[in-house]
Amino acid sequence: MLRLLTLPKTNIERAAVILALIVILVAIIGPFVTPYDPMQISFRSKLLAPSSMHWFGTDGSGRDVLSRLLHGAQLTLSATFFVLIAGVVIGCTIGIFSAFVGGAADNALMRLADIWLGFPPLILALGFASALGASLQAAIWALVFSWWPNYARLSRMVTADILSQKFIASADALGVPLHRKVFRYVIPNAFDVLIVQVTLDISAVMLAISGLSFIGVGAQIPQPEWGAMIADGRSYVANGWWIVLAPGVAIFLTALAFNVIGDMLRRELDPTSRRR
Amino acid sequence: MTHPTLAPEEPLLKVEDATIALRVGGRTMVSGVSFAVNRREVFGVVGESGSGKTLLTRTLFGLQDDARLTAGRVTFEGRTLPLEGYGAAVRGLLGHAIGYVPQDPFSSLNPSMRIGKQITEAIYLAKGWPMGAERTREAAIALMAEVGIPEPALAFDQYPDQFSGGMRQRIVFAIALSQEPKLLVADEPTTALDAITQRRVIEMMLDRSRRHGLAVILISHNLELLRQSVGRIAVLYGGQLLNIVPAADVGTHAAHPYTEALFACIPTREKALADIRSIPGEPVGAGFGTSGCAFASRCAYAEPVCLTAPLPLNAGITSGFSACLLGRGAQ
Repeated sequence: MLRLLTLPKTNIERAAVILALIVILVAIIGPFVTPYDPMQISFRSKLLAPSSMHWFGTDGSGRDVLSRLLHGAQLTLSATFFVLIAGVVIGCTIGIFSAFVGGAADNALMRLADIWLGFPPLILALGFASALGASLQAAIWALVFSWWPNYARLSRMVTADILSQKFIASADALGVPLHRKVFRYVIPNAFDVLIVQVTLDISAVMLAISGLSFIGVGAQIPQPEWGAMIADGRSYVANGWWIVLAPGVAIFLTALAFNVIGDMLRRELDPTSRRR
Repeated sequence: MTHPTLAPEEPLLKVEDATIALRVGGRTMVSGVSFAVNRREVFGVVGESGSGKTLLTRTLFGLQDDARLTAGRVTFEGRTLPLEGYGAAVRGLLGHAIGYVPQDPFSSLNPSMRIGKQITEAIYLAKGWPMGAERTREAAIALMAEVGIPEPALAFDQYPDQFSGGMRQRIVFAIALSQEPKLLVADEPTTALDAITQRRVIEMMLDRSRRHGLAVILISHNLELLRQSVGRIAVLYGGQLLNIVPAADVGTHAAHPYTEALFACIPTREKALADIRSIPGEPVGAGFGTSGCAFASRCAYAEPVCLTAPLPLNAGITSGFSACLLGRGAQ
């Protein structure tokens, strides 16, 4: 974590790291510092423009946009990280296993991943929504199911490359057992490649969750998820521009920050220029 | 403590009539190789590129996935390893009884693990934690000092890419030593290093091996290096064992024509330029089989019989051996 602060080379990267840290901080403590209840409907105070009372104004049902934004940070980010962690765990388990066993099983698993990749996440999400009912959970599982093949393929490729290296043969000569080889030799050496991909995927997954919520198959409207907030606010754009602007800017800046960090990590952790 | 059933003159490793074939296609690459390595002996294996020396040793020690031992008998410490499931049996000896120093120090260390950790891991794998983490750490630092790594306590926490090739090969050697094997197999351990570093690492390696009472198999294409470092040299060509000769006899006594031809290629201080001769023709590569001598096509003494007669095998596991069909180099 400390290393992350020493990596940025430009002001844009510094800004991205600071912004990402703020977003993560907000996601953690946001719900405890909100000025209002994000679900509290109040028709007397609906569609209020930003003011000292309501910094980001109120929406069509009189809910405080800032409070919803802070709560939404937690909802959106935790959903994003859940998708990524589940995708990485499922994908890497399959990918590493595949590379270790090789042969027909390897082939079968990778073709399965290929077929899975062919499913558009949107269609999968619509299917999940109709089966489980439209909810954030359905959208999350739809994304997990459409995201793991990426990590399966990536981790299989990286593992196969590591296994072909000579220090693995040396490990064999030292009598390193299989589980130790996976956790001490393969995963640490695959980590850099994976962390770059995960960081770059943060924004993509976040946009996908918000997008699914926006079209109505993800988080449902009173929930303060950023995409759902935009969907809720779009009918008031003419007389309440702040309702869509706040979550829109939040999505934009967060996605941008994680993309910049991803590119930075890719530059710094490139296997050809390691640790120097 | 010595093994109760082991007579003192029993060799540590005995290889009889080893035949090695590729898994895919089943082509026989090395045939009829027999030799024995005694306890505390430094034994050299020399051969040109493609002679089968690396294939032979890697397969004998279970490190070659695409080849297997199809015939022969391998005995280690008086225990004969089964031919069926040979790889698994010999891999069971790796990591404690047999140590292996690989060819290329630049890629033989785990790049994401501190080097001290790699040594303590090797100790742990060989013996568990019989002495606790702190004592293991001290043992690792002592080993690093022993193989000549400056400031070993500092180096303990560094990563492999912070060391030069020579230092990395010393670390690799320290890792092998840490497991206290009885036999150390070093496959071209210094080929990737420059000439001065090469000499120093080899000298350090042999000196420490002697001190720890290790038997060493040193594999190299460099006959001159072996001639100066080992006791006996096995000469491989075309997958055949052509000669086992005391290193001191190379260049001074009659040896197999191929050994003599190899020696004639090396420039030494004693030799005039005109005495340095290359061997005519191209090397045949491993997989020649056992009918006829693989070297016959390039040999200055070759007679028709050399092309067809079955190659003599080192049946007696004697200390010296020449496979020459004309009896050259025989003792």
